Amino acid sequence: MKREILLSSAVMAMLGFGLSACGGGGGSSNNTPTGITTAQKSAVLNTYATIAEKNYEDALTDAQALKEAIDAFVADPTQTKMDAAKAAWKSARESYGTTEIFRLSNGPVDAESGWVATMYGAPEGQMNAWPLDENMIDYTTDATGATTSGNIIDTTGIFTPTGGEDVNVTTITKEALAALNENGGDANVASGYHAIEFLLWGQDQDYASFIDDTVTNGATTAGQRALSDFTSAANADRRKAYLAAAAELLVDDLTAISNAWQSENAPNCTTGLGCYRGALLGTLSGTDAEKNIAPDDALRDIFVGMGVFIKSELANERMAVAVLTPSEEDEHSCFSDNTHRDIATNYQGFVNVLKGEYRGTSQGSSFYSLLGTAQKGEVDTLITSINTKVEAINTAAQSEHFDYQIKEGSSGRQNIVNAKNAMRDLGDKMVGVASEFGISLTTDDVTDSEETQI
Amino acid sequence: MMKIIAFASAALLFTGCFEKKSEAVSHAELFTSDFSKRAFSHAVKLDHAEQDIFMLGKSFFSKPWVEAPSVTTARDGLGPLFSANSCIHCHPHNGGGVALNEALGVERALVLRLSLSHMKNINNSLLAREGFTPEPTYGAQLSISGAGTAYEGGVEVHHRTIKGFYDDATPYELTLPTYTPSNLQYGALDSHANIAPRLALPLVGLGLLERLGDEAILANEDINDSDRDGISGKANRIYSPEHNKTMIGRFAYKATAVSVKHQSADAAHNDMSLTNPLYPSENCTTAQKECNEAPKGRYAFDLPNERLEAIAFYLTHLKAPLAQINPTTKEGRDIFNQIGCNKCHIEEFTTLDGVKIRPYSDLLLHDMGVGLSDGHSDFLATPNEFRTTPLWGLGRREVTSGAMNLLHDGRARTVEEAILWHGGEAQSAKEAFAALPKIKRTLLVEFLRGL
Repeated sequence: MKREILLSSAVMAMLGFGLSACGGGGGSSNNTPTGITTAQKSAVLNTYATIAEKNYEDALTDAQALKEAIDAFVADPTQTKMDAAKAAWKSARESYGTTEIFRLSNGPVDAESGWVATMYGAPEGQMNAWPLDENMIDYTTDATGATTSGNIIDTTGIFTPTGGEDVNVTTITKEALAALNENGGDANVASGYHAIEFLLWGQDQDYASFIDDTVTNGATTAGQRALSDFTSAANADRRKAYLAAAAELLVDDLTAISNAWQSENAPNCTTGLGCYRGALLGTLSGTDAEKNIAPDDALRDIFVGMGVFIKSELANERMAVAVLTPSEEDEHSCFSDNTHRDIATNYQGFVNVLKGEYRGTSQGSSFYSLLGTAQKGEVDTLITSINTKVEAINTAAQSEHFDYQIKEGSSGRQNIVNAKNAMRDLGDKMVGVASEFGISLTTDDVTDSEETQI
Repeated sequence: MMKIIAFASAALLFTGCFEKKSEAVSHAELFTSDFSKRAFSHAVKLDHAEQDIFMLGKSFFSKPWVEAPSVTTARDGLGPLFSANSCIHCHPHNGGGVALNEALGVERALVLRLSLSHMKNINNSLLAREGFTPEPTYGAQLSISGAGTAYEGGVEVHHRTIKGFYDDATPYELTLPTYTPSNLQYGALDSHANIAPRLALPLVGLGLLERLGDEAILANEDINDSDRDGISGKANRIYSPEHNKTMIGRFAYKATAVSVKHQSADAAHNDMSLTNPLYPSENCTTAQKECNEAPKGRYAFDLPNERLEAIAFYLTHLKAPLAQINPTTKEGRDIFNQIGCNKCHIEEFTTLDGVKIRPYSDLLLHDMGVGLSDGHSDFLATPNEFRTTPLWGLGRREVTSGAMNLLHDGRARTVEEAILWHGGEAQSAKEAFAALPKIKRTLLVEFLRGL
């Protein structure tokens, strides 16, 4: 049986699928399974599920706190309550940021097809889509200094997103926002963290060309939305309704995903409660048993997802594009200037899953713990290197936000370039990690060839 | 038997990895066997600095452009007259366009090129640079969208069914589309205007084709058919705005682009109206006042040289498709050669840097008969002449684009239909195909779908 598997992967290799493992993967390309047992595989998958459960629970709790802060602000719009809502948003981003490592792995947050997609509806885009065309949500100031109009906030009746279909926005509800989100194109983001961020902070007007543009809030200043937008300004009530609806939708979505991972009750594949967790761990029974995912398939999806996330999403989409353009439009949390935290938490999520840790505490045996000495050494070197660089981005953010660190001439720029390079290498390293589990990947597998939709 | 061979060569590779870069490994760094929708999207092996340029190019290839002025200053300058707002819109997954949507409306990926016949209203300096005389009011291409100004017109299509029989009496049906402009906003077209439909080509193996020497292309030229095999083959000689001289064309339906940068700049100009170093003016005719007076992007070029070159770098550093080789496709390939397809769809070339490639094209112009003629002349290409379309990636086109639309106007929905449309120099090969027994036709198609 084992021989059969080996043989078929060898055939794949000859056909071209496997060849670049030699060129790109580096390290040990010995494809012989290292004797990791089925029990060990179950244990590491269990650890992975435990981290997901705890992390999504925390993300949900923090999103609920954000909703409460927003509801309080909407009920009584004062500067203090606006600041509290902003603080709650930043706090919610901390726990959400580490969950992003569970993306791109055919899991409940973003599986695009199959029963997982049907059951959980892939709400990732509804929660965290970016970059968004803020011009669709509310007024903005364009490059000539003019105020834009024709957005969801200032429209009564029917709103038509650019290239999209009509949605009635007479009342701004979570249903309307869900219908508007990504309606007509990826940039037509109407819901989620970044829509809330824009409504709380407003534009951070540091334009794309740092050379030609003079409009700027400064290196340590984020968006400066005035409180009056929620009190005396035109459409203040609609802006408040928008915030409340967006927060409600976010809590709904996170509740569903948190439920997918929960272990307290027996899995229920009618409501979705614990169903994905059960499938991943192969514990579903009866008619649900057909949903169970074979351990090697689960591991493959996870390793691919980890590689694609750290390499294509974090290193490339969120860092390289921003630093290469250089363009504030391409930084992740551009209104609040919280991008340095996105980078730190996204990266921490990767380390958590690789090392089986959550909030600094071991959650059981990990992918890392089962690696051979050589592979561990290579992973350690990269992690040590990235730790330093991510810390440096965060330290520098105190005097210069990420949107200024990417600027030509910033002393922080090269560090960002080096950080994303090392993260790419760490993504490619998943080829070597997978091979120790007897799973054959190539660097093409851990690269989302269509990553850039910025 | 197969398995044993596979195992042996794979074992060789795995042990050979650390010793030195074997030829096979560098091959895998340039080619892919992927048959998924991402088949045309894999990068060749790149170092970090190269990956950065690749990403930048991909970003500008994929990201929608917006009209000027806008908040997103990095990507404004679209239009005012345009066919689409991003490259990828018409090249889904870097593949070819699809001509019709589900409701049988014409998609953006199908554009109408407008020109006046060479014989009338000749403007020699324009002809020398553009290769043809654009329609005076609408220019070289009908723009179906406008930002801040009226669009030029829509596109309508009517279909005619043509029935025929293979020699074994199996019936077949072909569909001939006629595309016409509708709702023209700037008055009637010139009475001598020619309308040539063009469907976005798949962006396959471009980097390797660019690395072919002119000599390799010219070696197959036989303009006067001196070997009397019925196949002439002529390289297009075109003006290169990049090098400011006449050069050998090798890209696009009539071989009207010298390089990928050239074709990218041309598309940026004609399809999105982005000013760029090779096409510095707005895509407006003098008759279009509003278009000329519309707000411009904030910088000298909407698409500056660095970004244009990044797009070209992206497109030239994608892996090329590797053909499926199995007993069926081998038989199909033999038939392909026997009936003479390979006279124009030349299988193998060697690039200037010594890489053997299999594009299945000579990149030369051939008379394809009146049935395929688009009435459009372009530099040396006459109305009936088209560049031999490279066939590599043919079998991935359906999955990358969502449908198989072949030939310049997308009229062929299958490989068989595309073959049956061949005429002119390819008439005898087409007739030989129609004369094949069904099993051999199937084998040939299987081979082509494995490319």
